Amino acid sequence: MTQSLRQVWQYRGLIGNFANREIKGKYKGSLLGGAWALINPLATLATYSLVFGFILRFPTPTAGNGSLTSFPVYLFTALVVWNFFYAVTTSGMGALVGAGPLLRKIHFPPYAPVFGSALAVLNQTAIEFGLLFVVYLVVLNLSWTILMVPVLLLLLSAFALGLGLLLSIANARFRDVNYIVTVVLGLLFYASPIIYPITLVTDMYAAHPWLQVYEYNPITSFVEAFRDVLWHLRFPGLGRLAYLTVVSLGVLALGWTVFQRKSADVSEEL
Amino acid sequence: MSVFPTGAAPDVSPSPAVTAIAVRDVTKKFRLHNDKKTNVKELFSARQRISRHDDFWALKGVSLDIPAGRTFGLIGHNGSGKSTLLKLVAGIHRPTSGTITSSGRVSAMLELGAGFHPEMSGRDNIYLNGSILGMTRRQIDAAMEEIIEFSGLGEFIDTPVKVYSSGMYVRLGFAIAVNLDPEILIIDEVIAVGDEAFQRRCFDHLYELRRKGVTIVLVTHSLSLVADLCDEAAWLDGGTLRAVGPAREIVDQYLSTVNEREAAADTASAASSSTPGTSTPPDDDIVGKTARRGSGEVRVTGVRYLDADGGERKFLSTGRACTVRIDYEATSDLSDVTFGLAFVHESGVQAAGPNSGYGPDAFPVPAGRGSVDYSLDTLPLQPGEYLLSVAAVDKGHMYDYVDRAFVLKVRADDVVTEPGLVRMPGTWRHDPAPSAGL
Repeated sequence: MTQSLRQVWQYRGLIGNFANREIKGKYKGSLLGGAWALINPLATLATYSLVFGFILRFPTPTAGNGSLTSFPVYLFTALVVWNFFYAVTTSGMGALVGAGPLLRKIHFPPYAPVFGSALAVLNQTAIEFGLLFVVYLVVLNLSWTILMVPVLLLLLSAFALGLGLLLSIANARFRDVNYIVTVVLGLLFYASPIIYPITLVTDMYAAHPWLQVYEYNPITSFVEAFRDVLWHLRFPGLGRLAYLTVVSLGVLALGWTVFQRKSADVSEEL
Repeated sequence: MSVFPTGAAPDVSPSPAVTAIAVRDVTKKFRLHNDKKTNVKELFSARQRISRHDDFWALKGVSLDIPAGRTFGLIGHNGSGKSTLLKLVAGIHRPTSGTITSSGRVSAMLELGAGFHPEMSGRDNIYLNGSILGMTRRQIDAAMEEIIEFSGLGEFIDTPVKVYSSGMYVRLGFAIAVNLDPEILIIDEVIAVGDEAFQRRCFDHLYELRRKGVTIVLVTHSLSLVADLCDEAAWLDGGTLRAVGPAREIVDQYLSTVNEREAAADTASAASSSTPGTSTPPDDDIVGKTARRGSGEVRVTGVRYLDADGGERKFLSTGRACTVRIDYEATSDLSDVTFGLAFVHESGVQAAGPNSGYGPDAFPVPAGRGSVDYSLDTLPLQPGEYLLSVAAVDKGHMYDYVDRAFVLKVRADDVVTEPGLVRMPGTWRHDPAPSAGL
């Protein structure tokens, strides 16, 4: 364990450069450049707010400060979390395949482009979280619970990175994985309380007890934890934190082990 | 270009006992590409594949030690496994069995500029490539000026590499690979880049690295380069090691085997052809580059190449004794016939045009078949393909002339390091004491 950490640390420069390459290449050649990092999530937010907040009118619980009930802000809190998870999980696949020509010519650890692309996502996430904090600051919905955000982000990073490692090495072998993941993550998005409050599901427990499985979805748990500390301004609960810690570290350990075992010959498969 | 400062490294063996790269019983199996399943559908499609046989063994048990501080060449014909061995040493592939241990940071130049990102500037790409080679940012910063200077890119270093010309691209790639302080440098056929001036600088730099004690492993088809630059060489043949030793010896062994093999192939094809014993085509089959001319009293029927022992050969060797035998057929007795030969290099340059002499030196030719020999103690022609023209004339009168109708292949028995068409037979002398005056 410590040995792998030391190895990763030794290649931090390379990982950083891959991240740099990802970020610099992303909006090159576009007219608005980095502004897309802001426009994209806002456009998604506007669409979902219109459909689910205005037309379908999902109920919005009152926020921790007792007055805030804005559906877009409620939605954005979860959307930021989802975007981060989605980007980290999926970017590794493209990064590893994209590094193929390089891996066939130069020796370097194959996890470097995967980690690099994950690191590059932080750029986007920082922008989105920054925006979110500004909004909460304006509406005065802040509390000490915000200190939990880094902890939760760290856990979510571990979870998404572990999943990303698994998916990218699977995708190197079978390129179908990329397409399957798009479909599955599309389902997962609606199977998590992102565009709707979790009460829509929990209210049905009495009629359909099997629905309690819903809460074991780690994304559900993550979204609820983030909403707890950012929207409701309350501690997410030790049970939930313990569950997230176990799941995240487990997934990361699994992803790392599988990736290290399978990636030694990856240069022949890309 | 080919004049290398070979004497530049008198002290290349500071500690010959130290091994930089140890290769032990290494095998490498590649599964041939068509067998690979890259999508899940194929994985689940029930057809049982019989194809466990299309494994390709690129290396079949190779062991060798590459000593530290030496320049080591890998030679062998295409498909012999040299590049595979290089990739294993560079850590790009894993050996199927056996071990490779290298002490020192390996910097591999398998393709120049392979890791460049087109949208990033030259400078950013130096950081990226440097970090791929395992350098820290501080080390890269230290080498930055040198790299920019060496690549000759100057003001273009901060523009995206996508606007670079292909020459600028490889120059930057080479500059990065050699300037980032490698401990073991691996080079695969990539030295022939850039213009003449840049190539010169590349070689100068390689010699300097060699002098500094950098271990260099080189794969190239240029045998003269191996003989000049390398201290030692290994010869791979069909995935196994044929010989290891001093570069020149190995190259000479390799060359003589290649020549033997070609000769064997030639005799095999000659034996299977309809006219055994002679390679002379029938009279009518001689087709020159231009129409055949002459009155026809003497007609050239063929040309044969003989080695020093009088044996017929398909090719001749530079520097060896040989004979060119012209077969002819005369329809009547002629008193003064002069035979002439022209050796035209494949590039179109006429290298030589000897004739048998006029007047009293001319040959009397009786009616019937006969032959004329042109003999050389040492063949001065350098390796290559030559076309032979043959003429039979009597002063102003032309009996026969076939223009560039015969192919003469010249091979080298040892390494050729001289440029040009011919090897000049001169001797060098130098008197170190001033010969005259003060």
